[in-house]
Amino acid sequence: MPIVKLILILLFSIHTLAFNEGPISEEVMAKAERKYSGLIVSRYLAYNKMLKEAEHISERNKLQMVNSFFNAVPFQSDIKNWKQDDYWATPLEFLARNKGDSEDYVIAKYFALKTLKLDTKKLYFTYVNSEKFKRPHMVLSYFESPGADPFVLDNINEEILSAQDREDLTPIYNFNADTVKTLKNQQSTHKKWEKLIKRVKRNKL
Amino acid sequence: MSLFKQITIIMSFFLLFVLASVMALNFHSSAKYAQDELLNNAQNTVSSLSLSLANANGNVSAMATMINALFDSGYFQQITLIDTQENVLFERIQTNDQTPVPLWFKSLYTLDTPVASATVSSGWKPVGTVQIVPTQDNADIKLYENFLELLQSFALIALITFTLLYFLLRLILSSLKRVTKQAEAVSSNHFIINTSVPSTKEFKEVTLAMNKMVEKVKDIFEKEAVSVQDYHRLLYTDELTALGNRNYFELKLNEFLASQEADTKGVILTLFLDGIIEANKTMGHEKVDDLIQSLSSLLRNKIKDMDQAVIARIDGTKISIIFPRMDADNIQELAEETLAQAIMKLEQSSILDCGIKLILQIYTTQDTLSGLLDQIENKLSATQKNMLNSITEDNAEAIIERETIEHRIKEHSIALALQDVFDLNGNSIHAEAYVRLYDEHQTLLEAGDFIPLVHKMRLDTKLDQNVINYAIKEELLQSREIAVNISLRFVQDRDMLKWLKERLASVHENRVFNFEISNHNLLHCVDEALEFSKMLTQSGHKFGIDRFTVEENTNLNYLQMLTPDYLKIDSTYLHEMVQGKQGQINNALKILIESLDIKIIASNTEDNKVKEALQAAGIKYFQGSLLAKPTLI
Repeated sequence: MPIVKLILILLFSIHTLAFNEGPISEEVMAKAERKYSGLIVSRYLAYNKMLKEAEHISERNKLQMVNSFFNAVPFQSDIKNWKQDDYWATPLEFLARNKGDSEDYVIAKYFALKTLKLDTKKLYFTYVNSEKFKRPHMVLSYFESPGADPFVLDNINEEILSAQDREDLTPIYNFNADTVKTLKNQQSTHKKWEKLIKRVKRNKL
Repeated sequence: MSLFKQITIIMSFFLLFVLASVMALNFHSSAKYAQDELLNNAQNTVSSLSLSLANANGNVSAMATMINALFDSGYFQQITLIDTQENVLFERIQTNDQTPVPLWFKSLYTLDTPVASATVSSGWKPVGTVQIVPTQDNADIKLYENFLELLQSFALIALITFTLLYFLLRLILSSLKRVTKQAEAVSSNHFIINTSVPSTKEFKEVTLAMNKMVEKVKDIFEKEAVSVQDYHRLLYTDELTALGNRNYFELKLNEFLASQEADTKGVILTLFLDGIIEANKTMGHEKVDDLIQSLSSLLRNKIKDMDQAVIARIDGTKISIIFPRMDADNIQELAEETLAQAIMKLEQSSILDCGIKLILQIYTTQDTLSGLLDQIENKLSATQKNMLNSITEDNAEAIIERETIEHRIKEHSIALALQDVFDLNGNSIHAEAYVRLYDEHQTLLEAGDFIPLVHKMRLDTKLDQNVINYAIKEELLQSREIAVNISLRFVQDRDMLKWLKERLASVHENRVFNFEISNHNLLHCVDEALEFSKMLTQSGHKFGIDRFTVEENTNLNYLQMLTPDYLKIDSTYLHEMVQGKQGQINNALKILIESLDIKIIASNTEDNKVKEALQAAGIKYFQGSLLAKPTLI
C-alpha cells in the first residue's frame, strides 16, 4: 500500500502544479473539498483571486496585499491547533484550518510572494523576541536592497513597518531560504525547512 | 587431496567470504554514519557560531576573535566568514596533521567533506555567512579503530569456528577412515568386518555394503580352502583308517629328508601285520578291518602328544610313524609298549595265524626314500613274529665336535650356496641361500652335518644372525636378491624381530631380502610370523613360506592373514594337487593362493615332465636341480 500511495503522489505532483509554483489547482480544491468542506474551497478561490489581482502591481503593493490576505486568518497556538509544540504548516494547511501561529503566517506569505515572482533573496525568516507578549516570534523581513533596513511582515502588527519602527521586537536570528538550500549533494542544513518544502511540494493539506 | 582438506578449504573460503561481507557491510554503514555525524556536528556548530557572531554587531575583529577561539579547538579544517557580496572577511585553514591512520586505509573510502553554513546577522540585517568545514581526522581515526576492533573480533570468531570445524570434521570423518581402512584391507586380502557402523547415512550404507562384500569374499575363500583340503584328503588319506596313505608318507618323509634344518635325523616305526592277507580270505574283510582300525587308533593314541610325528598306513599290512628329531633311544620304550598292546589287540580279535612285527628304522638326510623302504623290508624279514627289531645307533660319527660348533658358526666360517628361482622367461627372481660351514681344515660341511647339532645346542638364532650379517656384508651379494631361511626359534624370539628391523634399516634401500620359514615351523608360530611378515613388508622386504603343504585339521586362513609374497611348494606334491583325477587340471589350490596375490614357486623341480605339466597348469616360477644346482659363491 505505501508504494501505491507513493506512486499516486508522484503522478499527482506531475499533473498538478505545486503550491509554490502558481495558483491552487482544481484537483487540490477537489481533494480539499473531500477532506474538509466547501468553505475551504472558497478560501482557496479567494487566494487564487488575490494572486491574480496582485500579479501586475508594484512590489510594495504585493507585500501589502499578501500581508493583509493572510493576516485575516485568526491566530492559534500549535499546541491547540496541531497538538504539537511547534509545527510549520504548509500554506494549504494554514488556509484549510483557517488558523495558525506566527511561523505559519510567515511561511504562507513567503510562498505567496515567491509565486508572485518576488526575489526570494530579499526575503528573510527572522526569529525575533516579542517584548510585548514576552515570547518568541517569527516575522518575514523584506530587504528592498542589501544593507537597507528591512520591512517587517507579521501578524501582530497588520501594518508593514520598517524594522526601526518595531521597537516591540528584538531580532535574534535570520535565515534565507535560498542559502539554506543544499550545497553540492549534501543534505539540507535546515531539517525543519527541508521537511516543510517536501510537504509543500506534495500539496499536503 | 583428502576429503578432510577439501572440506576444510571450502569451509574456510565460505567463512572468509561471510566474515569479509559482514565486515564490508559493517564498515560501509560506519562510514555512512561518520559522514552524517560530520555534517550534523558542523551544522550544529555553525548555527551556534552564527548566533554568537550576531552579538558582535558586525564588528569583524570581534567576529574574528570568536572564530579563532572556536577554530583552535582543532575540530575544524576551515572556518570562513563572507559578507553579503560573497567577499571573504575572515578565514582560518588548518594544515593537515599527521594521524595514526595509514594511507591505504583512507583509500578504502571517501568521505564527502560537508560545508555547513549559517547567516550572520547584526540586529535586523544579515551581514554575511559563516561556513564551517569540519576536519575528517576524527572520523578517520574512529573508522580505523572500529576496523581494528572488527578485525580482532573476527579473528577470534574465525579461530573458534575453525577449532569447532576441525573437531566436527574429525568426528564425522572418523567413520570414513574406518571404511577406508576396510577397503585397503580388502585389497590386501584381509577380511575386516567393521562392527561400529557409523550413524551418518551415506557412510552407514557404504560400511554395510563393504561388510557384505567382505563377508562374501571371505565365504568364497573359505569354500575354496575347504575344497583344497578335501582334495588333499582324497589324495593323501587312507579310507579305512583315516590315517595318511602311502603318498602322504612319502611326501612327509621326503620333506624331512630334504630338510636343511633340525629334522634331518629321525626314527621310523613300522607296524607289520603278518598273515593278514590270508586272514582276509579265511576270516572275511570285516574282522580284519576291525583289527586294523583298532590298531590304528592304538598308534594314533600313542603319538597324540607329539605334534611332529607323522602317521600313515603305507600299504594293506603296514602302518608307519615318522618321529623326526628323535633318537632310537627315545622311541625304544614306546615301541616295546606298543608291541605288547598290539599283540593284546590281535589276541582279542580272535584272528588266528596272524602275528605282529615292529620295526624301528633310523634315517638321516643322507638316506633316500627307496633305500629306507628297502631297509625296512629287510628288517621285516629278519625279525620274528611278535618281536621288535633291535637297532644300534652310531653316536661316534659326529662330524664336528660339539665344543667347536659355537666357534664354527661365526661369520668367517660361513659360506653360502645359491640356487636361483626362475620365471618362465628364464630370469632369476631371487636366489635361495643355503648355509655351509668351513671346518678347521677348510673343508666344507653340508647343512645336514652341523644343523642338528646347532639345533640341539640351541644356537639356531645365533647362526641365523650370523648368516644374515654375512649376506648383508658379502660383496658378491650386493647386487643380488637373495632368500634366507630362518629358524623357528628366530621367528619366535621378539628380540630377533627388533634386531632384524634395525639391521635391515642399515641396508641400502635398493636391496631386497627374502626371508623364508618352513610351513611346518610356521604353524607353530603363526602370531609371531604375522608380526615378522608385517615388519618385512613395511621395510620393503619379502616374506615367504617354504615347503608348503596342506596340513590336516589346519585352516588355510593363516595364508590370508600372513599374505606372504610366495609359497615354495614341492613340485611333486604340487603336481599331484593340480592334477585332476581324470587328468584334467584342478585349479583350486592355485586359485586360492593366487587370489591372495601370493606367488607359487615350484621347488625341488627335478623332472622335466612334472615341470611341463605344472607349466601347463599355470605355474610360473620354478626352482630345482633341473634348472640350476646350488652353487657356492
